[in-house]
Amino acid sequence: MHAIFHAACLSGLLAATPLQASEPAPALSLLDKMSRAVENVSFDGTLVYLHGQDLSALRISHRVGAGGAGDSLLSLTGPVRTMSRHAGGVTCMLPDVAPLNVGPSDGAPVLPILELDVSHLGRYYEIGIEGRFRVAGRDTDLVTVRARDAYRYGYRFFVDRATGLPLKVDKLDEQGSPVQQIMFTTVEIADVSPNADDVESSPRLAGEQAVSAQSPTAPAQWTLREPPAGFRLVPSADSSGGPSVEHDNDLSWHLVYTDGLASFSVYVEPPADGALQGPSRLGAVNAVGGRIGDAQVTIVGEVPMETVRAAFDALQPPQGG
Amino acid sequence: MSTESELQRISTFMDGEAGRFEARAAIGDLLRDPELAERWERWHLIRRGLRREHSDQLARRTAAEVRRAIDADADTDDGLGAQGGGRGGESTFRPLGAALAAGLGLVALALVLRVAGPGGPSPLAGIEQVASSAPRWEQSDPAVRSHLDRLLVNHREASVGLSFGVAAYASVIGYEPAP
Repeated sequence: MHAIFHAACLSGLLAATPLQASEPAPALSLLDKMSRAVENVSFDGTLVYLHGQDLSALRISHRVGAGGAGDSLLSLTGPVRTMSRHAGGVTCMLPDVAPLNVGPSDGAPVLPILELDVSHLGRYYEIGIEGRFRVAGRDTDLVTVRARDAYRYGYRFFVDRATGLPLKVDKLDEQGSPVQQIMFTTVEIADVSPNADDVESSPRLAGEQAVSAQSPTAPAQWTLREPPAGFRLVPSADSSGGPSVEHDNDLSWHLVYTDGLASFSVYVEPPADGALQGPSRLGAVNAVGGRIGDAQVTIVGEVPMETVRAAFDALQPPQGG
Repeated sequence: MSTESELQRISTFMDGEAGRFEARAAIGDLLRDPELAERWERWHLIRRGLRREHSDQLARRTAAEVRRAIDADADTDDGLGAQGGGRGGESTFRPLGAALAAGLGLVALALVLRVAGPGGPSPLAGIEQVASSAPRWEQSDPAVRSHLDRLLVNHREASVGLSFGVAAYASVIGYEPAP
């Protein structure tokens, strides 16, 4: 799904007007290649995850096959933590909390392909290539994505020249300092899916309808009066305006906003135990929660705190609902 | 009676140093041998106590969640089994995490049922008193942490931003406060 989305987006970008940054086309081409590779290349490896002053190591595996993709992560440091993504969704085993299962019906709305124009992306990021670098003993191209404001992180992608896999990903704050780094120390390429270079022919892509990322006009729904600059609502594929999801037997709203690279989710739920009040942070992930009227609202995403705060302040309940 | 090699394997697994096949074997040992499972439980309790980590196993939901994990694991194995059949040696590349999640789920189920059993005092009581105050999400309430974890995973699956593939979950699984 993600690969299809990005292949469509980036293919559109490549065919469109170049970005304002110098030499953006090769950089976009590399991002396109990367976006496909993370889904279509089977690999095993070990990576390190650095956030703040804390460093951890993970074993990672991605498999592509006729039965679908399978992913797994296993922590190699500290308490045992695992994650598995499979046809039934995602299963996480984390310390001190219940085993976590998120299935397709638990809230991942079916999102359509978005047509993102290059001028939109170029207003908020400057994209270019800054040379070559070795990571995990392999040659990579360094693609830099600089944020033009404080509402989004910048990135440095070290893209494997042979496969397109991002072997190192830095997330950067407004000053260009890393807030989170992920780097492979070893990687073993197992296989490249035969569809890796043929995403456009995917039946799923053919069955989906491209729509523009305009704010929905559907009445009686939660929305952001003025989203953080550059972020736009991803409407649901069923034209209901915003994806509504069943969550623990309660009807809840789940809205996804994206600027084309980063995204955050807005969850509107009935008040319950475990609701977040105020800000919270997990590495580069920020969240803010609180009550608006009778609803509990939580906004979470891998975006700066300023972004989730601005989104929270801009949230508007359904009118007349 | 647990053998020395089984104990060594569990210890290695607990330290996060087990390889793919060794981890599978360790999970099999834990599920097969109640004595070994008790040792695993004690080691974790001791380690958490020494590290002053919060232990909140009683808050875990059990059977339904584990059942779902196992079912999902079976689905994945079926699908990738077909792949392996078509590509010979690739059958060894089934996702480790799915097996681990289901296996650890079973272990967790066994431990929670034992800990939360009727009439039995919780062996976690003493550990709770030395719980750490540096948890995930910077939240002391495990219910809040659990809810945020769920929302984050949900967001990841719904996210339409630039795809990092499975590495996007590094922040979910990799986060580990300094001891």
